This record gives sequence, C-alpha cells and structure tokens, in this order.
Amino acid sequence: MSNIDDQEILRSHLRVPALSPEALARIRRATEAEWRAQTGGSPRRLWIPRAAAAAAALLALAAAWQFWVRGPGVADGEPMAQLARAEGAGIVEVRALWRDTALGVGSELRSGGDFEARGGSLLRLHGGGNVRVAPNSSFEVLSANSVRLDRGEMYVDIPPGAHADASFVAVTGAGEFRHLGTQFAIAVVNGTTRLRVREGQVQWHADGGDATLPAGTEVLIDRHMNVTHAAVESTGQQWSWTETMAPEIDIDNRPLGEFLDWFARETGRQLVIADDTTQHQIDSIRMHGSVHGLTPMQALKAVMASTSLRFDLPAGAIRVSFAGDPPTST
Amino acid sequence: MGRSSKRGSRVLDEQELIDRMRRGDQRAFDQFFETYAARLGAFAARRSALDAAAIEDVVQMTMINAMRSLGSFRGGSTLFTWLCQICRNLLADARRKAARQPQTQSLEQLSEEKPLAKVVQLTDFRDPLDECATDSERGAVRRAINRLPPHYARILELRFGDELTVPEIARVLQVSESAAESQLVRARQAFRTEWQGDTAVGDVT
Repeated sequence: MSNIDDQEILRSHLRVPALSPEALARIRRATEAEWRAQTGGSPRRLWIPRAAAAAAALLALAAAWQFWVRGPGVADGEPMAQLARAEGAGIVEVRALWRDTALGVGSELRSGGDFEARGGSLLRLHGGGNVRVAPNSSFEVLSANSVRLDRGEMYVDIPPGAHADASFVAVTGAGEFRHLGTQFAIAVVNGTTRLRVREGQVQWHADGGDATLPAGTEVLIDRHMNVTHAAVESTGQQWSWTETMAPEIDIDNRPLGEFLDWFARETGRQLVIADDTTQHQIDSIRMHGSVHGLTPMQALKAVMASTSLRFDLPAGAIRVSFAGDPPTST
Repeated sequence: MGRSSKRGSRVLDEQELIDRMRRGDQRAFDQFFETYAARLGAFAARRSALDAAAIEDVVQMTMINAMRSLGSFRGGSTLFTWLCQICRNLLADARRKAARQPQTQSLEQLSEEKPLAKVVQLTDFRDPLDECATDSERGAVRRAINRLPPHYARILELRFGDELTVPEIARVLQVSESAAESQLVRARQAFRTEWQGDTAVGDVT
C-alpha cells in the first residue's frame, strides 16, 4: 500500500458523523441527572449578585407589563392536572384577544382553559395517572375529569384504582371516551377520531349508543360517524412517542421489581419472570442511583447492566432471567 | 516546558476538574461534558460498526458509568483515555451481545427497532455490491486501528478523523510539533503493517 493509499483510506474511514445535537442533549440530560444523584450537585444557578438590584427594578416594570398586556388571569376553574414535563416550546394557554400564556412545569391546568401543546407535554392528573399530549395538539379542559381534544393526539394512562370517584373522559367530535382502567391513545386528525386501546377497556358513548372497546382495538370514526375497526399491538412504533414522555421513576433505594413493573406498563409489555431463582434475585435487589432523563428502554439497559440478571424482549413481553440461564427461543 | 511536565500539569488540571465535579460544581460538569461527550461519540463510532442509536446508548452509558466512578479516577492516565477505556468495555459488551443475537430478524422486529424510514434512508440509492465492499474495508480499518497501541490510534484519529494539523495535534497532545510529527509517521507505519496483515488474511479467505 502506498503512502497516498493509507492516507486516503484513513481519511475515508475515520471521518464519522458527529452525534446529533438532539442525541447530545439526551445524553447530557441523563449524565447530569446521574451526576446530581451521585454528588448531590445543586441545580443550575445563574445568580449574579450585581444584577440583583437591576432585576428588582425590572420586576416592577414586568408587573406593570403583565397587567396591561396579558389581561385577566388564567382559567380559574377546577384543577384537572399539573404540567409535569414539557419538551421544546411546551404548552401554552390560548386566550382570545390576549397574548398566549406559556405554562411552566408545575402549572395547573384548570377547567375553562384552552391549551395548545407546542412540544410534547406530560400532565399529571389530580385524580391519579397521567395524560401525555403530542406536539401540535390543542385541547380544552372541561372539568376535573374531562378534556376535549380538538386536534392532535393524547395518551391517557390511568392505573387501576385511580379516578375511582369519577372516570376520566376524553371528548372529541365522535363522542365521549371513558376510561375503564386503561391506557389508550386518542387522536383527532382532519375531523377523524382515532382511538387505540392499549390496556383495559374504553367505553365509547355517542348519540347512536354505547360500545365497550377492549385492549388491542383500533377504531377510526370519521366526521360522518363511519366507523372502521382494526387490531393494534400493545408494543411498536405507534406507541414510541408516549414512551419518550413517560413519567420519570425514582429508583433510588427502591426494589427492582417496582422498576420492572414500571417498564412493563410503560412499554405495553407483559413482565415474565423466568423462574423462582430469578424472582428471588429480583426480590432481593434494591436499586441505587437515578434513571432521570432516560427513556424506559434506556433506563432498563442502565438498571439491568448493574445486576446479575438478563432480559430479552420476545413479542409483547419482557422476560427476565438469572444470568447464565439462556432465554427460551421465541 | 518538557513533555512530562506538560503532561503532569494536564493530569493535575483534569484531577482538579474531577474534584470540582465531585464537589457538585456545575461549571466543572459543563466543562467536562462539552469537552468529552462529542469526542467519545466519534471514538465509539470509529471503533465499532454500531448504528447511530446504539452509539448514543454506548456514549450515554459511558458517561453514566463515569459519573458513578468519579472517585476512582486517579490521574494515572488522561481523563479521555479513562473514558475511552470505559467505552471500550461497553463496546466489547455490545459486540458480544450482537454475536449472540440471531443473524436473521423478522420484519416486525426490524421495524420495531429501526423505523422503516430510517432503513430506507440508509440503504437507498446505493449499489449493494459497493456497500458490501465499503463495509468490508471499513471493518478492516477498524480492526487495524483497534490493534494499534492506543496512542497511535489516537493520533491517527486526530489527524485523519478530526482533520487536525500537526501543530494542532501537538497542542492537543501537549507535545512538541516534532514529537507529534514523528509519532504520526510511526503510527501510519504501524497502521500499514496491521492493515496489510488484515487484508492479506482477507484475500486468502
């Protein structure tokens, strides 16, 4: 090989695409969360003492601006949910004649409010469970237990036992969709409603009557109320956006079994424990550290890497076994 | 300043950076992440045949493991070398895991792991034979690089991967320009030897 050859070969094969800014941002979030968990690092502070006086003056101006520009306060009806996480441009409350109000994490979403999710958003329902809203969705909070979806998609995840007093209801032009211990996604696109039931059952109420739709069902209802049924798996690409918005789980000093249950629920998989030895191992492990900022799959890899257990993912399930015990073929 | 004293001061700086991180200093963490994350991504990509998503996973696990082991960094090597060692172990795990996987996949599995659009984008408009030849050559380069002493592999990556000039490499490695130049010559020679060995074996088989 000549000198020119080796330089050309090295150039053509050692140049690699850089990690995307999005990938670096995800890695940073996960790394920083772990760093904080390990060191107790305090949240980022940008306190500049010399700017304090100027900031106080600005606060007075801002208060005046709030009064003149933003108009009356945000919706003050019954609280339905709290904004737990917002990606990108987050979520805004839309108010006719007034400037839209961006909601910060921790803000309440109350009945009477019209909202637009400009980035993916996670809402923690006061009655238990959560709602994940896809970017470019708009919705109105109707009451403490109901929401009208005008456009876009939302995923409702209400564990069994939550919302015992009053079922959670999502409303679209196609009728009311009431949870019966459920995970379901509901979308409205160009006037057509699409419902996908991942777990449990959803009761659909329309002018023409009621129907109960079980897990694994997909229903399309167009603006003329023509209905098309199909089957939908509990795992797969169609659910992946919901997993990126999964509520975070605090694993520090928590049993491994709790984490595995969370993973199974978040990914729509059935948890399969290989045998009693594996179950005993799972029962004996308490976790330390943090998986904040990780998707369920990333969190699973991180957690399992620090145990003597292994996992595989046959269709619709996660199977956990003691290391050395080969997974059954699926 | 001599080479060893330059290295000594760098190790001290890095040890100080780690100490500040262990005390919870946000700026130290920012500096650490901005200095090493993207470089680790390039390292993992050059040393493996993993796809972009798997590279991201490996880099993330490397950084997380590093955060868990901050106390074990003693400055015996540079910080980047230490991170690369963690990364190498994870890459080896990934290779072992890949070797255990079945060689065929159902379409459902494929579309679950890689969205269809991504698969199409990766394979579209390429002659399969060209792609095969390129993959084979890339694999041979990767094997040759992986067999080199780490400091040779590193200088080749800086020169041909990051396209740094010799003076820039000298600054990164904190050695004189002439030392960088001669190390680069030796690294290329070592690469040629390894490459020829690999491709000769490839020809026979």
